Amino acid sequence: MTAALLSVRGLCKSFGAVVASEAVTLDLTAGECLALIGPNGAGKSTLLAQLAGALAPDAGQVLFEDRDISRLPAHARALAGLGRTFQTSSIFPEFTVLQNVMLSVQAQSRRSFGLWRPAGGDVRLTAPARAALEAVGLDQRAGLPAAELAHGEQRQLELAMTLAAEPRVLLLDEPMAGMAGADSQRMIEVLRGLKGRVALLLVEHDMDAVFALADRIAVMSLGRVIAEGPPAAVRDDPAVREAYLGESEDQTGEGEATDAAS
Amino acid sequence: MTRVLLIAAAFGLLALSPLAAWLFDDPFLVTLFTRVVILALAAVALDLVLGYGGLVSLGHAAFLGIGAYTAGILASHAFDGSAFMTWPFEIGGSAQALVTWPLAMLTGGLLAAVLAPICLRTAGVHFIMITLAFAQMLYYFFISLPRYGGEDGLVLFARAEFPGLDLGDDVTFFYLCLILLGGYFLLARRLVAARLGMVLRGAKQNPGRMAALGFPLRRYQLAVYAISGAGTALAGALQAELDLFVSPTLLSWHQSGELVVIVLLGGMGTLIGPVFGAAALVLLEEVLGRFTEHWMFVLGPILVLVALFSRRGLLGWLEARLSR
Amino acid sequence: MPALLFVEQVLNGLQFGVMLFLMAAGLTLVFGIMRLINLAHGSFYMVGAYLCALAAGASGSFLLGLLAGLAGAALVGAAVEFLVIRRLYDRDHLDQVLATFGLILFFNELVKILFGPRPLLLDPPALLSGAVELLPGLPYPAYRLAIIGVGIAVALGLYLLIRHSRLGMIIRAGATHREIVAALGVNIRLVYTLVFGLGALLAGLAGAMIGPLLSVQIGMGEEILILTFVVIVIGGIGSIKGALVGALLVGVTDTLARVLLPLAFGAFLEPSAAAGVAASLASMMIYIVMALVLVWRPHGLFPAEGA
Repeated sequence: MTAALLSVRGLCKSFGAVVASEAVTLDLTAGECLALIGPNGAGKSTLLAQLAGALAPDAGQVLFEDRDISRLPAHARALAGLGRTFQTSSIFPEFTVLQNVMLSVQAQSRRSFGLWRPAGGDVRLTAPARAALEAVGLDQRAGLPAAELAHGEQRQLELAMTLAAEPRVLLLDEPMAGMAGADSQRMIEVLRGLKGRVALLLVEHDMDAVFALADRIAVMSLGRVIAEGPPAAVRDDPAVREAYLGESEDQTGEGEATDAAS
Repeated sequence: MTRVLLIAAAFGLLALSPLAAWLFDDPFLVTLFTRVVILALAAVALDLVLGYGGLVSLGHAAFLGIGAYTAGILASHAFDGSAFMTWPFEIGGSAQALVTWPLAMLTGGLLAAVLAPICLRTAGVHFIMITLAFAQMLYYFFISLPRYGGEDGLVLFARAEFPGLDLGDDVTFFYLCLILLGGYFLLARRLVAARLGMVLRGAKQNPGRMAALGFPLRRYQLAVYAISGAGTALAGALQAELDLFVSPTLLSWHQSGELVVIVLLGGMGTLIGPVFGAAALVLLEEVLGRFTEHWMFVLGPILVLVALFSRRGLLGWLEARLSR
Repeated sequence: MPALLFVEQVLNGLQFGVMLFLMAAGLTLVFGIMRLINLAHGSFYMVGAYLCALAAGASGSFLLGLLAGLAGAALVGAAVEFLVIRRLYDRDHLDQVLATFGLILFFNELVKILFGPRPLLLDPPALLSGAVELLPGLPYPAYRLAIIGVGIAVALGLYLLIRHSRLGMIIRAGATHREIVAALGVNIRLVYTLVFGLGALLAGLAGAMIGPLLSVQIGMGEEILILTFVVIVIGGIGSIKGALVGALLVGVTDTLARVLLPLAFGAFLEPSAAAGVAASLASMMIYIVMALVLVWRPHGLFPAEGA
């Protein structure tokens, strides 16, 4: 097993009496896709927020390439190569689709004190932005205000923004949420194309996507990781079945995908 | 395209406005239009942080005041030949516009840079109130300076000297103010389309996403806040020259409120809107003031109606009419 | 400084703090529940003060004046809510600032038109015009004590109202779960009008009571309004408890700074310089306190949930 790219060590977080993360320990190696599943309220999004730096853990460490980044603010983690997409599309509605992605390129360039030259004509921003839009199949919509995109397209844009930053680890918070058939199939293809180059930590309820993409699966319940391993092993784990209250007993038995999102 | 036409129209009309004074044989009109230009400068500077940055400052009078006092204090020392400070080194007064005005901008920018790190820790309604409170603090600070007139203010005896120009001539002073407004306007317009402007506007729409993209937001917001403070302070210095008088009223929260009103009335986030807003407010005051001394009784409800029914201000209305 | 003088100044500070609390309670409720910034809150204070001074002057009874001030401020508040404010609840803070700034101009000018620009003066009620000897050698004006008493009563009343009444339950729920309250079939518009009217009433109460201590004049509302903002920012916007703590903190800090700083600077500066520096620092003191609190806790001492 190669050394972990992103390593979570005993992360704890509670809100009053509610324990959101209880000694969570996980490893993500370069290029792999680790899916994080579990019932609603299991603490998946809270964990992602702590990894991205939006939320400070009470205890524990986050290591990125063996460097302790637990105390770095969110923007510094993003610059270090830790990309993130949000559960609900988080875009800049007043900007055009292209401008949204350009902003991501600009963040990576670390040159934002420009006062005079229009950003719109700067090929160092536009070229990588267009390439990222092409990668997710949004290049035809580049000039449109982002607010006018359909829901599925906004999710694609969200991904393009994250890709334009050329992250080495991508934290994906339910990229399929609210997507219909063709759109989600397309998203799966885009993500599959990333595997091998980018390490993916995928929080997802859509089990089609999870089994299509994941190399390993970790299952969370009530803030703890209760199972971790290859997809087939996790599927048959009794603790996992219990966590899902047996609601997907028959289907998992048949090897069918289940949507645990209720 | 309409926007460019309106910008040309605004500056063209302002450039021609001294003609009105000549036509109506009313020299006071030049002073009135100079007031429009100076308020427009302050409002354009406020629009940078308010309209583009989403940072609702209800304390921009602080920058107006500090600019006015910088120019006024230096001029008063130059007038009586005394020193502004003697320790650790001696600094005297100055009556040179090319010294006092840039210094006014510098103090305004520095003040903004000092206050911004504290103010930017907060957001939304807290930001509104903390900016207001800092302006009040400065207001009381200047009231308690008897050397510079305290509550009564500071009277200046002549406008600053400017190489090759006689600023004592109202029309010359007007055009110099207009050129400064044009220069700052150009800078601001370039800024909002440049990389810094993109960060500023992005932060207004979705600050959480900006951080996730990797922007250390506060340092960019601080930079724009300082540029805005410097512009407003320049307006303050010009106001001091226009009135030949500086008083704490310039720092009052009514003044801060008036600047916000000008930006909203004209159309925020447009830069040229505040120029229209300044003209509208000054002319409205003037016209209403000729009919009744209680003109605020009319202005108040007008502002309420603008807030309720006009989301995009005068500029939005003009652009809608023109593009029809 | 003699201990008795110090006690007296602390009491003055409390009395000032109580005034600020009456203002802050309404403002913070309106922000916490309706998310509205109301710059015109000081206008209700002014309305209360003018109506009290005029009615008391005409009838010779302070109590009648007080009632007129309370009723007038509450009615004006409810009317303003009905005509203007309710259209602003879901709007940007900027629109709220613009509209309520317009309302200030309107009310100031209206009062000037109706009652003229000259300040009004008001005597304290005869019953409370004397002094009470709190400690041997410490007489204290009965009227100021009464103000402190009214403040304590209002704070208790608000506590009971919010903790134990049906309206209070809706208010508490409404602050965090607006849709749920609306879905329960509560007439949320009426609740908003009532809350806004209650805030105006408390501001009117403060204005009516301040008459015998300060002159009643145009612009009086803005002076106290800014201090009120400082109070609710320090206390945490939306929190009544924060408003109370913030108000007392600001009241006592401001009063003591004005008394103690000149003494402190007088010890090592010549008198005229000491007076100047001390006066300047004393005026700025509460803003310095606010800045320190916000650096320490950006959402105030008692941040309300969801604020």
